[in-house]
Amino acid sequence: VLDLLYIGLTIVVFAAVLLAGYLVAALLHPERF
Amino acid sequence: MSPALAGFLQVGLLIVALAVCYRPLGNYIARVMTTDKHWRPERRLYKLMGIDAAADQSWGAYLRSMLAFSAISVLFLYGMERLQHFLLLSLGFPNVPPALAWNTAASFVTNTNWQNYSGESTLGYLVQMSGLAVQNFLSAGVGIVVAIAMIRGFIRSRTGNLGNFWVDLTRITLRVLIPLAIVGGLVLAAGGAIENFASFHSLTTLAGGHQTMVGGPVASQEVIKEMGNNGGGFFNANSSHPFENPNPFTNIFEIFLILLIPFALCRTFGKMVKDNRQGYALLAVMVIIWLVSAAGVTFFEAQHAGLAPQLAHAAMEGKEVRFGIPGSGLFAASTTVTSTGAVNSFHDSFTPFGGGIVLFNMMMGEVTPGGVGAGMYGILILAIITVFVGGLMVGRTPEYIGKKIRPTEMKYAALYMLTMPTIVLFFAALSIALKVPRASILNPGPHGLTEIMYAFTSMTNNNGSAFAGLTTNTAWYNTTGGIAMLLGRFVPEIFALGLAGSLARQQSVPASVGTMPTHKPLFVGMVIGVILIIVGLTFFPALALGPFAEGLH
Repeated sequence: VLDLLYIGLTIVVFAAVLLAGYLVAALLHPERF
Repeated sequence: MSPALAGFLQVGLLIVALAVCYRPLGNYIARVMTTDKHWRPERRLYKLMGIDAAADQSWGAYLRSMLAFSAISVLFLYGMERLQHFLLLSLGFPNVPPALAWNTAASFVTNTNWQNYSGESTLGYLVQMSGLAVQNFLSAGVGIVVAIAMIRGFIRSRTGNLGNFWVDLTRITLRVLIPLAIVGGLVLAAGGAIENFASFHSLTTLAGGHQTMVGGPVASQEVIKEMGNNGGGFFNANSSHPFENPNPFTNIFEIFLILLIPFALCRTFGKMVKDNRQGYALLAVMVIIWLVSAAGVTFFEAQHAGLAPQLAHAAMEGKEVRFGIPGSGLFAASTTVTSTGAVNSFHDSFTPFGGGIVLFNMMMGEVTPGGVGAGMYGILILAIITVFVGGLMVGRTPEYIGKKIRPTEMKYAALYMLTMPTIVLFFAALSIALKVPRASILNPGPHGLTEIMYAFTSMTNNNGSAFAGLTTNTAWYNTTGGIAMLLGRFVPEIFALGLAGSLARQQSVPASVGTMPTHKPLFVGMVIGVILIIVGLTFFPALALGPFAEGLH
C-alpha cells in the first residue's frame, strides 16, 4: 500500500509541476492559447 | 606551517588550477553544445530511443521531456531500492523502506543527494553504482542542459525553440561528464580513495575492540559526487571518511572538482553569446562571493571562544585533524555556494556565525557559482533582475545580451525568485508548528530552529548537506523533504525555460548608448547587491531567530 502511495505521490508531484507550467504559459502568453 | 598560511596556499592553488581549466573546459562545453555533428554512439542511442536528433523543441516540449525523464528516473530508482534484496551485489541488505526509498530517489534525481540513510549499512553495490551513481551523472546533465537552453534564449531570435533535450543530455553526459569523471576518478584512486568490491572486513582495533569495515567502488562515485555537485557519500561520514577523502591532496582536489564545471560554464556562456566579457562579469560575482564566504567561515571557525576551542586553538569539534580549519572552512563554503552538499566536517558543530554563513550560502539560491547548470541559470535570472533595477534607477530600457527585459520576462524572473523561499519557509514553518516533526529537533532554542531551517533550505535548494542534530529519517521528513526537493528543482526550471522561450522569440536588438553595460565592475557590484538584498529581505527574520540569536547569546 505504501508503495502505491509513493508511486502515486511521484505522479501527482510531476503532474502538478507540468500543470503549473501550462498555467504559467497560459497566463503569461495568452496569445498562444 | 601556520593554519593561515596553509589556507592562503590552498586557496591560491585552487584559483590557479581553476583558472587554467576555465577557458579550455568552457570553450569545449560550448563547442559540444553548439556543433551539428553527432558521434556514432550518439546516433545509435538516438535510433535506439526513437529520437529525432534534428528536431528542435519549444520551451514547453523541452520542459515536458525533462519532466518525463526525471519522473521515470524517480520511479526506476525507487523500484531498485525497494527490490534491492533480490538484486545482485546487495551485500545481504534488506529492501529499503518505502518512505526512505522515495526520499532517496527524489533526492538523487534532483541532484540534491540528501541522505536519510547510511550508505555502508543500507545500500548494496548495485544500487549505489547503477542507481545512485547513474543519477549523479544524469541529474548533473539535466542541470547543465537547462542552463544551455537558457543561454540559447539569448542567442536565438524569432523562434521559440531552445534545442533538443535528449540530444543535449546525451552529449553533455557522453562528451563532458563521463570523460572528466574517468580522469578525476583515476586521480582520486591514485590519491588513496578506495575502489574495490571488498565487501565486509572484521578488524581488531588497536584498543582491542572489533570493528566491521566495508569496501566498495568509492573513487568512481566520489568523483561524480563532487564534479556533478551531487554530494551523496558512499559512506555516512561523506568526505570526512578516509576511504572517500584520505588526505589534504584529495581534499583540495575534491574542492577543485566541486568548482570546476560551475565556473567553466561562465566561459561557455560568454562563448555562446559571443562576448566573453559577459562571462567574466558573472564569474567575478561568483568568485567574490565564494572567496568572502570561505574567508568568513574560516575566520569564525578559527576563533577560540570557550574552553575546548581554546585548548585546540580553534573550533575543532566535528572537524578532521588532517584537514584542519582551512581545509574544512574552504570545503564547507565551496559545498554550500554550489549545490554539492558533500561535507568533510559537520556543519552542526560549526560556530553559530560559521554555520550561519553556510546556511546563508544556500539561501542565496546557490548561484555563486551554484550547482552545475542550476547556478548558471540562477545567476542569469539575477542579472536580468539587476538590469531591471538598474533601468528603473537611471530611466533606461532594461536590456541584457541584446534582449529587452519586458514585463513578461520580469514576471518569469520574479516567479523564479519567489519559489525557493516559499517552499523553504512553508515546510519549515509547518515542521516547527506541528508536534511530531518538532520532536525530531535534538537541540532546543535557536539552534533547533537553525536545524530545521537548514534542512529545508538544503533540500529545496538541492544542496543536500545536512546540519545534523535533526532526526530526519521519519515519515514526515522523508515525505515533505522529497516533495520540497522535487518542487525546489523543477518549479524554478519551469520559469527558467519559460523565460528562455520568451527571450528566444524576441528579435535581438543591438546595444545603443542607452544600454546599460553589463560587463563592467559597476554591474558586478550591482548583481552582488541585488543578491544580498533579496536574500536579506527574504530570510533575515529566520536568520535573526536562529544563528544570529545563538551567536549573540
